[in-house]
Amino acid sequence: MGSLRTVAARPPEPATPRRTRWTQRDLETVLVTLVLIVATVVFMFPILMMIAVSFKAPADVIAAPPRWVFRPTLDNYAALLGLRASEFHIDLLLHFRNSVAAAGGATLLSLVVAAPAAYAFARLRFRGARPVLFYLLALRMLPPIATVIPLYLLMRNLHLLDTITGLILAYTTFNLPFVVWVLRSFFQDLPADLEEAAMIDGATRWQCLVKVILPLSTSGIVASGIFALMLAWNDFLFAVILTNRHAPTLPVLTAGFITEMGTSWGIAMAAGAVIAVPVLIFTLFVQRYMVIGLTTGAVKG
Amino acid sequence: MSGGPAALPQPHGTTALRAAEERFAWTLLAPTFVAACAILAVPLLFSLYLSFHVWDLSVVPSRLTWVGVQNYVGLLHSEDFWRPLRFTCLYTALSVSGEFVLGFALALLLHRATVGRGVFTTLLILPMMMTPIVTGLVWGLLYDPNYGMINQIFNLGHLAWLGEVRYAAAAVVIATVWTNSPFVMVLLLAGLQSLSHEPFEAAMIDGASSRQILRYIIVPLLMPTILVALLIRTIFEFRAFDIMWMLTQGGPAGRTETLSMTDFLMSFRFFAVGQGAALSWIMLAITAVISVGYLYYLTRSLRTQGA
Repeated sequence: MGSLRTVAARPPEPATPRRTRWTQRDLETVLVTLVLIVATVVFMFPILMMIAVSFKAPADVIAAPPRWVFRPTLDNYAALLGLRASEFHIDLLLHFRNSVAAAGGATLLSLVVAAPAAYAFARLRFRGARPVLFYLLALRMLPPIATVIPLYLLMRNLHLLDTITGLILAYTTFNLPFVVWVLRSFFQDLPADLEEAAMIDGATRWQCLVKVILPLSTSGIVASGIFALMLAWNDFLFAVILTNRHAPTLPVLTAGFITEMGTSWGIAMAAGAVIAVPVLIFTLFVQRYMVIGLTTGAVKG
Repeated sequence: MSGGPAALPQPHGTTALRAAEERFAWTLLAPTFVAACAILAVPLLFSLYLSFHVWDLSVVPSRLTWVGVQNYVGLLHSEDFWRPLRFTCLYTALSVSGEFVLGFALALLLHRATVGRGVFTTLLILPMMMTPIVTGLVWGLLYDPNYGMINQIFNLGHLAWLGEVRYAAAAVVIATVWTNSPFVMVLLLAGLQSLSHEPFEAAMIDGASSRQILRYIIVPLLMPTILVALLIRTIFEFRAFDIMWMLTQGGPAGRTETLSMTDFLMSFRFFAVGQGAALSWIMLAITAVISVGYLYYLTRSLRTQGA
């Protein structure tokens, strides 16, 4: 929980005379906890409903009013995998493969490109450091729709439309500013003595970076990598514009479930769960880096 | 500039060493810089160029015609620009206010909590991490007039949430507030936990009520964090696309269309690429104005850290 845990203790409560075993403070604790339980239930409800409906049999899905108690089945997941007939021709594996390849490739590429830059910003003195750092942040502030239109035209000329390579390049650019900022703050937090010692022993700057800094910042690299992965995984806009038949990702598949004729909610929720549940699980790993991740441009586009 | 970069032993003064360090820094930076220019800045400048042209893609080879500022003038005279602009502003204002109120309340509660704070925080963060397109899908089912649980829980019969302008607008705002309140919550909770507790002790001794403490101590001390949260949310709601795309497709009758959607439709449905580019640049200009505020506060906080 790291940074989210209390740093300063709560302000002391004024002492109340202890008449019963229940002090005013206890009462407050109970009240706060109750309100938080209610809030958590409300906030979790849509996610739980998604997971629940994904296990409903078709007849239960279209029951009106909705049934809260039902016999769970795997029908929707079977339909999603093409094991059971449905009105959709879904190639789940294709979308899944594309999502993994695009998000994974972009994550690796942005880490490789961004880590040296982040180190430079964290440790070296050079002219132009501040302007470039803020230029990168400014790029993160651009509305994606404004960048994706020219990117579409560029990719069209490079014959990269509807390819995984194209998506990887696009996602790398929107990940870069973010990864640079997050890694920079990790590098800054490492003690400088280690590099000093290495340099006194005759290591070059490159050796410092590769042999001292990088091994020490594994957790930072993993965390920013996971953030980058989620950013790319969650994207819809770039994928829907830059891909067509060969390279569409999972969110593009999901968008296809809403049709004029109505939506097959059971299959749609199963697809939603397939996409969102991995992200939710990843969240648990990066939660303590959340604040730095958020202030440098947030996790969503 | 005494913090951050100075943490390494500085080569002792000689210009040659300084120059070597600078060269090394730029070597490390080069790939990022080149990528940021090649795949972002250059296409953006191209879109600026396009915004002064009409690009006819219906003939082969496609034809570019210079039209000056006509794309911009056309937009400014078109209800197809003002309608989504009005909705985008309304949507942004409502969503950001809702997110702030709910996020702040949750942050205060979590700060007070003694039991299970970690568990609550983890669970409350999840909506923010959900894939936005899936969020749109899930809320689509919640709002469904027949199979949706919102009508069932609140006993609203077969209310068609997404079929009528007022309800549709409320529906997208509610879904957005659900998604992004945790963002405000996380930032403000971190802010609250970094406050020193001397002012609180002093206020307690003077007998201040909780409301006075909130009004005169917490809010002023937290103001920088509050502003950053509000600015980031404003920038990000202004560009909203995914949730509306799933819930309303801009409907009914284009009344819940955001500027991002207008731009998308203009460029990729109607292939008015020049006009789409012009709209992009108007959005960029508006975002830039908001961002300057954000960058200003961030610079200030960096300076106080001594970076």
